[in-house]
Amino acid sequence: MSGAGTVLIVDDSAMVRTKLSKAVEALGYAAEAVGSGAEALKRLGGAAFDVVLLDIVMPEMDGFEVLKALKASTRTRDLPVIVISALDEEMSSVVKAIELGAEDFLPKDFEVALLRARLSTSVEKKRLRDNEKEYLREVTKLTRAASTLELGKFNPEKLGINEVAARGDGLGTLAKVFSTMAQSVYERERKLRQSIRTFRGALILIACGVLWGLVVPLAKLASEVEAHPVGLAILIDTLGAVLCIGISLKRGTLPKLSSLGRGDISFIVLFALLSAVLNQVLVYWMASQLPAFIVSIVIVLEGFIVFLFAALMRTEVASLKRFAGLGLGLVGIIVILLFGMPVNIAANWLWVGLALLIPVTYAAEDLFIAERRPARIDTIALFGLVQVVSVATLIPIAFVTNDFVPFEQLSGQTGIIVLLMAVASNAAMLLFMWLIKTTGAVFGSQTAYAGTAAGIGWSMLLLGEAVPLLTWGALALVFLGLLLVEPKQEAEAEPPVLDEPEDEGPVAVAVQSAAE
Amino acid sequence: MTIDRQALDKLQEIVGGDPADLVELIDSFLEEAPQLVEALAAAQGSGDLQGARRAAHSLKSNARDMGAGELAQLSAELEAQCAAGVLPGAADVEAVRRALAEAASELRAAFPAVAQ
Repeated sequence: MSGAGTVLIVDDSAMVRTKLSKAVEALGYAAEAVGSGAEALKRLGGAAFDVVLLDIVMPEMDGFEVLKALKASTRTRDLPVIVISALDEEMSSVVKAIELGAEDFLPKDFEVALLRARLSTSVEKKRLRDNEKEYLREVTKLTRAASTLELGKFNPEKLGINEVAARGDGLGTLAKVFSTMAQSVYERERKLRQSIRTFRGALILIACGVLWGLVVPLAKLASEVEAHPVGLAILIDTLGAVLCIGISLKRGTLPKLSSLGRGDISFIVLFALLSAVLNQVLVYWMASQLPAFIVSIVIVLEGFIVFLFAALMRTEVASLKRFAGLGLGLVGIIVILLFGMPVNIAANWLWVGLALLIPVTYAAEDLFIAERRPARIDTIALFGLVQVVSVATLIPIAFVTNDFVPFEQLSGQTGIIVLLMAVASNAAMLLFMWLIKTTGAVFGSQTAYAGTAAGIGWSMLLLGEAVPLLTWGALALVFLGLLLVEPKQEAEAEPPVLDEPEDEGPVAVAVQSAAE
Repeated sequence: MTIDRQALDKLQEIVGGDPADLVELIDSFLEEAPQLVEALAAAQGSGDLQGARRAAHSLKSNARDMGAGELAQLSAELEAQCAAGVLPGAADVEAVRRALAEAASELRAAFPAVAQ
């Protein structure tokens, strides 16, 4: 494009096109010439021109029709058009063209000085109008950004006013000030939302932990007569399956089996194996062999394992503060394992080693939910399906190991314990899945801390187990660690798009009708 | 001599002063004008008033640029006649054809660089 501007010449005569092109170029403008009104609209639809020199008398689509189409579109409405006419007998045509929006007219036998004056005036007016339109567009952007700010949901980086802020004038300064203010409002609101999430997360976490902490002492109680870890898991999962599938059927959230994809099915099967076969059986088995409070304490290691995996897989931010928090929790546990056990535990070190597998399976569950959980399936329905698969997997194992809980045991106290375990573990698992969904795997893994604390409390309450004083001090360290690991930072919702699409309107329509 | 040299000088000045550009424009005129006369004849033959008017209009403007006074005058009269709703006769078209032939031969004689 020439520095002086680009002129589109529209005339059906080849000789006139050549004449006007050379004349315009001799004045320092760039020129492009087309031979019909339809071609002109097509060119104007795709390229930017500063002025149009338009012949009125043309076959098919005359200059008046071209003018009407140009003025009807917001895209070309402000483009200056100079109509060319022989002055002698065409004055009425010139008047009509100006009424239709032509900027000026040029007689066919023009002087060079007149062409120069007409072109420079038109181009200058176009540039002023372009600047004015640009200014108004940027004011609109700023106004819209202000309304977005008022709505409260926005991302200061995406308010669409960076370009406006780059201006050197007053509007630019206003945009800069606004941008800074938006940034600070955003930060304040983000922190507030984060605090609310942390608080809400902490409440769910404690509830989840209290329920989970109940499971180990109850399992200990249930196994006091005779340990049946697989049979116990079958009973509890059956109750969980009936409850969750029932609720899902009532709410209409149970997905049709035919609608489940390969990813959904593999999640359900693998999660059932991990959660029911490995984790659950392991917990019930360990509970029958070790003091319940020791099993509860070992579970706390889950937090450290999850954070380590998540940091290695880069699925969550590994900040020094979070590392310090989890490290503190780990130190507390080591102190408890080394110095906080009752004296007669030494013979059970093998069992403690096996029990260490429990937090690994919990951590695997936690990460598996965080990374692979099918988001479109409702939590309760998903958990119900998992429980169905769990029961189906556990029954053959119970047959082989002859580990069914005898029916006569289920009457009386053991029956009540199994029922309580089912309620506690299923409710805890549902809360756990929801917690991970809303706060992330690392924060969710802290359920283990709450579970441990509750587990110790329940062990003392239900089983009368004595917990050494040092253990309490170490536990305080663990809870300090909890405070340092915040929930993961949630991505903010995308802000609305602030740039309006250009109106293509009548020019495109005119081009299309001309093409037909 | 019916060609007005002053008109051609003005045309050369408008397009930037290069004589080669003027020759290019004369070439363009000599190629386009006979087509316009044929378009006029066809419109006259088929009774197409608007077609005849447009052809006469273009011939008039182009002839003025070339300084072909007689051709411009005849074309202007035909354009006005069409505007008044009267279709030109075959003799009118013939007169235009003759005027163009005369102007063309004068231009070719005056500008040897023009395609003969």
